[in-house]
Amino acid sequence: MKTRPSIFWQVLSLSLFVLITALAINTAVVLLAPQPRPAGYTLTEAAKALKTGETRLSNGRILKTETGSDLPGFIPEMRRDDKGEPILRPYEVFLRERLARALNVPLEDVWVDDRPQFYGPYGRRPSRPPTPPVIAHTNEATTGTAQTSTSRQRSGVHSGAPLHTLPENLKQQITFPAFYAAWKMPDGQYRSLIRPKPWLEPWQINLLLGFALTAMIITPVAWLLSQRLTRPITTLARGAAQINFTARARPLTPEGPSEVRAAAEALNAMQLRIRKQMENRTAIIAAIAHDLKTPLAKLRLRVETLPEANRESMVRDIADMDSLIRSALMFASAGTAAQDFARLDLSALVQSLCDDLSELYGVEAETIEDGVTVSGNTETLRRILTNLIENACRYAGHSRLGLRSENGRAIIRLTDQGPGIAPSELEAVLEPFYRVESSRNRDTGGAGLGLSIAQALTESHGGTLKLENGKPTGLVAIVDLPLA
Amino acid sequence: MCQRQSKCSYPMSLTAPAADTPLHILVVDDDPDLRELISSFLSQNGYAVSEAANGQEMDVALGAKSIDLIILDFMMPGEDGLSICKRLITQGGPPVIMVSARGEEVDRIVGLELGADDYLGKPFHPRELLARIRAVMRRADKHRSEHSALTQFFGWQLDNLKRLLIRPDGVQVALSNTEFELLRVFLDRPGRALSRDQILDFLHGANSENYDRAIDVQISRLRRKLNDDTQDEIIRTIRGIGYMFRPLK
Repeated sequence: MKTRPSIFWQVLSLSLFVLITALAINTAVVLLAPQPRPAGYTLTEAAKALKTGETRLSNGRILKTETGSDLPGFIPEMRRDDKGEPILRPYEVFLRERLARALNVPLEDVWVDDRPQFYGPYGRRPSRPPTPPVIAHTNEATTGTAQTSTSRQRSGVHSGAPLHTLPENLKQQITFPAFYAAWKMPDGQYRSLIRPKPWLEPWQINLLLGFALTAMIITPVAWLLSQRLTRPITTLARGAAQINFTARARPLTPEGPSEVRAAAEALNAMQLRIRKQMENRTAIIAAIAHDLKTPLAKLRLRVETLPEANRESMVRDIADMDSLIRSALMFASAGTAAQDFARLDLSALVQSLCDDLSELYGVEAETIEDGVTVSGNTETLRRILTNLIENACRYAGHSRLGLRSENGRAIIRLTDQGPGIAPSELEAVLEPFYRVESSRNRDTGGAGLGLSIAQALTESHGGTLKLENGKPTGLVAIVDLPLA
Repeated sequence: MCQRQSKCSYPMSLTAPAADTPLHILVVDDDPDLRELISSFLSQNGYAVSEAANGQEMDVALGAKSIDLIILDFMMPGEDGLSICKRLITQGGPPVIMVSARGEEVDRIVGLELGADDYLGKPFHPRELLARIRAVMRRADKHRSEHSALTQFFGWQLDNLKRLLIRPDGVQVALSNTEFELLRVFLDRPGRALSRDQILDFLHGANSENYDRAIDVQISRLRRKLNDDTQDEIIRTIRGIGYMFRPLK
């Protein structure tokens, strides 16, 4: 017997595992992943792109430019003062100056605009951020420096050093958020930077990478653990579906987590209770049948001593009682009948029934497909078909029995040319003790158990029994069994 | 049931048992009324009858007289009919007809498997009881091997109780009554050429009307169930005579 920790602890540990793994992975990503390359580009890169047409940026993307005879689109959109001169923020002035120097063209042939474009999930910055006051005041004339500059560089500005004395590597080290820049080339054409499409910022990529890594590591583990968790429950459900109540039925094996074991044990207890109930019922009916049949046997023997004239009707009454008792007994045990199933040739069985019962019940063989094999009990299947044939004989006199296989099912059709059954009663006639009343007296009615027994026995074989009205008349009984 | 096969060597005969000394039948039933009714019915029909209410009384009666046949109730207080039957068989006692209030097919088969020679459900037609007694006595005289539940031949098995064939691959093949009887006729006489008339006599007794054609149809059906279309056919047609079952080994 396998014992596993209870589902409660399994779920709790799975949740904790997921939580801890997720946190650990993301922490690791934050701590260990290489410093994300900043988005945007340095002055050198911008200058190079403007000069040569395109350049590879340090973050791996390619900065492209476009060249044309028209003024690039951003220039007319720039904010201008009363005189139509673009208003530049201090560091835009700085960028412009440096670009002009790098490209070796006059300042007037270079345009720079740093309109905000994409700032990630925290919303947009105000369209015109306030100019940093420090730079504005100390370096108003010569323009300020970049907002993104680090403290080291800012301290350089603080010290009041003139711009042209700024270290040369400033151009390479400071990455500016993507900005517009264009210049008028010597041939009179304009070339402008194509700002990289707004996409994820590198730090966002890092974060998402962490998430993806977490998902990749957790998903298979969670998958396996969840399967492990649900497997005993699935097994239990499968076992419960197959539970039956015959004396030989095996109880479920309690295994797996404690909750599942408890459920299995509860089901076993229930199975036992139901089995006892059914055994009681069968025992009671068997006892009644026994106690009725012995007096009937005595009656039957006593009848022999009576004058001939009285005998016949009494013999018939005894036979009726006998058949009623037998039907009741059979119906009581139909669901629980201990049956040893074997693979059997249904074609041979149907054929032999047609032979044996043709004279007695007027049944003849229709098309009987050869070699149809099912798993079942010969006696039980004979009983099912005999009941149906008997029923057909009672109401129609003749019937035809056919067999074919179709989609993994064996389908037996018994067709008669009798009056059929009102559509509303087609299902009701399968109920025990139900008899179609109109025009049918006790003589033809039987106990009203034949079809119920046939149905119960068919179901014990994993099959179904269905009644249909034939065309143009008559009744069709269809027994549908799984092929072996 | 094996012990009784010592009698198998009796010559085959269809004649009734000698009528000079009446057969002695022991009726074992716990119900005194029924016991008496059966007894008087059997006496009227020319049998000598003793009665026993349970297993012990039966043993006493068996010790005192020579009993030819026992009619045994299936359900009795104390030692029940089934275990009595089993005991009788292992002791090599007389043939047994079981009588049961539980007329179920399963009980019939269980009874027969345990070695009862026949089985009758209550209530029974008195004349049917007589017929069964005669049949059992006739069989007891001639051929006890019918009691073995399974007859084997060429990888096939014939279940004599459930009256079905078991194919070499284990699949059960149901037989109609005629097919079963026909196969028994052949199995009891392997390697013997049988004319149609002989087969019909064995099937229905000497005085039956003959249907020559019908027997051919039945045999071809039986052959089909035996998948008998190979070179090595089990039932062979003997031109000008009739049919022959392939000799068993």
